[in-house]
Amino acid sequence: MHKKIKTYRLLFFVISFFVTTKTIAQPFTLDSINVTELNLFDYKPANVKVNGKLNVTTVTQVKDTMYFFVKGISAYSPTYVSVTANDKTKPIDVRLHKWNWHDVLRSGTTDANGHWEDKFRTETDFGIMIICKDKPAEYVITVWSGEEAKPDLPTPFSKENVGAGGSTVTDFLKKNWMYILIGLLILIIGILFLKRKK
Amino acid sequence: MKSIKMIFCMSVLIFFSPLISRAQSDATGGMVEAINQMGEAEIEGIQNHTNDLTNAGEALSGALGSLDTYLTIAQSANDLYTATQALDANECQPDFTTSSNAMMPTHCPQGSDCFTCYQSAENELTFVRRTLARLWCIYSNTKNFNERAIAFGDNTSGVHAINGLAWQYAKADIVSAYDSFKQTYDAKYMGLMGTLDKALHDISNCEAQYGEPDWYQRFGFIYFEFMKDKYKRND
Repeated sequence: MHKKIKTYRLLFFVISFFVTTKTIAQPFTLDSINVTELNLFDYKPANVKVNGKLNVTTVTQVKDTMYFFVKGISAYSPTYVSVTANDKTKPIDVRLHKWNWHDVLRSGTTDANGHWEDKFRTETDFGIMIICKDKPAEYVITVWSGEEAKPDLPTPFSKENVGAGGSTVTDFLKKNWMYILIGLLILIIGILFLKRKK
Repeated sequence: MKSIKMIFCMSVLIFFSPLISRAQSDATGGMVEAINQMGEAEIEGIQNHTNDLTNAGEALSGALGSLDTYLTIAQSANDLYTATQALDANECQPDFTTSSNAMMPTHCPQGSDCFTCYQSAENELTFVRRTLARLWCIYSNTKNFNERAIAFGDNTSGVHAINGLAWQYAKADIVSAYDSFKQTYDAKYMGLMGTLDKALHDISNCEAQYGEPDWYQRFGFIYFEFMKDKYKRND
């Protein structure tokens, strides 16, 4: 019981950091652009093994470019983004950003089915820039961020176990006595051989 | 003469503005910009298949179908995590490596009978390692974001519409927010270091039961110092 309380306290402490810390809000720009935050809600369908959070947004775009951003992403969460156009004959350009709205990290265009998607992982937030050459354009943005994965960590423990008393020198001798003996024999044979030659 | 021209231009603009906006509306087929985000209840409806999507439009059903395909194939969050790459190749990735000098020997390999003693402490150690790695990524990304933003602002403020003085105010805000972030990082770092130290002492107590009375002093302390140095802020 005591251990559980301790773990919850630690969890609360850690979560409070990720919730309260003022970090990156959205990709940086000096331009006065209108950026829409896409809010994620719990999504746990019964037929799926991985829980997560989902945003589904329907957009009618009459301008060349629109900007969206998502925040609250964990570096351990897989993230999926898609854009699906209503009119398949009107391709839509999608660009993903992180640091600012000038550096494009990933980009693509909706295909013959009017669909584009990408998967990645990132920490805290990212931005989505949508460019429509043929306006107006109607499309659906889907953002899904999975529950945190628990990747296997390489062990911090060495393979070598300490023996009783913990003497690593004794351990070394115990494990390698045969090699040491062979080495000594070779050395003695070598010395004898040299002496005989002289 | 100049002021007469200006008054004339403004009058023309005011007089024709309804016509101009109608022309813009015609160019977009009479459509206006719209952003409709699904709320919590609607997402829950999709999740439980209680939303009627028959009239939702091809795009929406197509989008949800593609997501469903992606998710139903996945067996675990770990599968999806390992199958994806970072959005930016240069962004921080959790790093769990341990220097060979800081590796700790143990009397009790995983799966042995003695492991029950170590279980709780090792779980806590793993949790702290994961959290520290994420905390470090938040720090690195925030630092990277600030440095890029300041470099970008310094380079473009001279030629950009935003004048130099306004940029200086914006820059001061960025610097102040980052200073506050650094303080928060340090506080959380210290807290996690305390938890790490506690986990290592718990392991040391188990080691004492199995024949190594000075485990923390001989090995745990070196690992602690390695971790302390690895996640210490460098600015």
